[in-house]
Amino acid sequence: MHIFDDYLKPIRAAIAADPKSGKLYENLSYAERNLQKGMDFKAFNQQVPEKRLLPSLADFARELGLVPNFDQRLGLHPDFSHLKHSEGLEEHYIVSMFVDIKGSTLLFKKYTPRTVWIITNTIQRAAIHTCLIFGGYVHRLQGDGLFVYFGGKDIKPELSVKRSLQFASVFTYFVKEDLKNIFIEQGIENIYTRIGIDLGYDQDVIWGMAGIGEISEVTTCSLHTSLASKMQSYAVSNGVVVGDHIKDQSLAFAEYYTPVCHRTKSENDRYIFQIPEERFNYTQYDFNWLSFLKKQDFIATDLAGNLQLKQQAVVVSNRNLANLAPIASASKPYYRFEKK
Amino acid sequence: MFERDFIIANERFPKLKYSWHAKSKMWVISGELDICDTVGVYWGTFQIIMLVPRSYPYCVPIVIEKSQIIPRDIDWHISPEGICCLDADHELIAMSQKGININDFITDKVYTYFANQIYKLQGKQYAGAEYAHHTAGVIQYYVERLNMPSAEATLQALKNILCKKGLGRNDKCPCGSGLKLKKCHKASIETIKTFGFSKVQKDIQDIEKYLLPLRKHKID
Repeated sequence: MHIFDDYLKPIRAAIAADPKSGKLYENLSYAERNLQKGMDFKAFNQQVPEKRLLPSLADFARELGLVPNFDQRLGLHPDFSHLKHSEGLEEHYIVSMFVDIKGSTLLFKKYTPRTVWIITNTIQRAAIHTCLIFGGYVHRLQGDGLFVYFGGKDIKPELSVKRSLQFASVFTYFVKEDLKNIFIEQGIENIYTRIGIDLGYDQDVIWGMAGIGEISEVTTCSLHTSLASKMQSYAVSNGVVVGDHIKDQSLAFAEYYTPVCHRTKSENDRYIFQIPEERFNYTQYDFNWLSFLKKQDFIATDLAGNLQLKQQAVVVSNRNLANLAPIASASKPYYRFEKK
Repeated sequence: MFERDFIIANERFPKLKYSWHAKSKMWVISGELDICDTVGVYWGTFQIIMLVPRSYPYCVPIVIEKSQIIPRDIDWHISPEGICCLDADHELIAMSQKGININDFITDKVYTYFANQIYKLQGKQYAGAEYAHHTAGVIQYYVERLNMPSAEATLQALKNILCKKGLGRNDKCPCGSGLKLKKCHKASIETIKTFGFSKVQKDIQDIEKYLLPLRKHKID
């Protein structure tokens, strides 16, 4: 899709310049060498700015007609920030998502800590940037991963669910396809994601301040936030597991959900949570994010089966009719219809 | 069989879906067909419907463009109702006799047809060759695909097939080359036989009608 091409560059450069395993050090530009050698934050920030999408991702945002809101603070969802240092509580729906990025520990076998720092931070920034494009709110950073909310006062649950699924699909594709290629070239084990998502309705979610003084955050107390975290641990490598409410709120995508127990062949895995006396049985589903992604309006699948960004909102530099000719020239149309 | 084949096609063309239309006894494939080039650049999307008879795989699906992107003009190889003329009828019939695979059919015939339409919309002409319309195109098919030397030779071959005469391996080839059939147009004759009696009969009528003014002109 090339959405994250510009995020791959610093990772490639860092790997190539790594004194432990890099072979291409001499071929790197002065700026790229600095990224490894000097390893100051400034150099990294130049490569992957905090509050600016890199061009390939910016094109993607334009394609979707979405603008990221960089004006966020951890642990302080803008729609509930008034609850900070207050005794107020609020009931409001929210989509909770846990994005776990696994396998980064293995990077220490092959690279210096500085290289690992660049790789993991670039991936995390790519995740944050993508999340912001889809209107997500990064509530907390968890190791290399994220705890994200989708939803708020001015957005309906249905759209929040759709956006969360779009983010999960796009980011998983990046990790599964784009990053995989880099690490395969390096002959090391892959980095992969596991994502859990769930929706709590108004009556399921309490918003309020947790902690004391400045050791605090405005957060949710909800079964469904807890379940999202739990479901993430049920996901396969590069998999997404979602709860019943997510499915109910996105019935148009019902074909992409399969109960987790179908995969594990264990009926015990059907429900992620049960209250037998209330006959409350909450099902967890594997979400077929790739099929979902293929059907998005902004995605086209080429003849080789690769996903491509449509890029209707930007000028495509390599758009050349000559590249269409090999496919088009295989057609030889005829006309047989008589005039009525 | 169709359902199984469609699952594979759906991997490559994920925005198409199918349903069974009991009344017409056909599978109806509908949805969007996105067109990308060889380097993955996206060029356009067509809304299409494909009607696949229950005789699948021994059938010729009908493809209809619903998005009205292609001008409804004879030179764009599309009927006013949007039925797309993907290839010479004879070629499609020959394919159907062997049995089609829906994934291959969409890849080789449908996708290329729409890619070619985009090519013409952008570049004012098709990327490759096209058949002439009506009977001229039929003759062109026989000449270009089945290597018949001329319309007259085609006519003779068709007549022999219709009358089932002169088709032995050691008979002289109806194309007029003087060679034995087995060393000349044997394979072409076998292909023509698969078109069926009525198609061959209609081709004879059409080609004779087509040649009539030319013959008259010659005599004059």
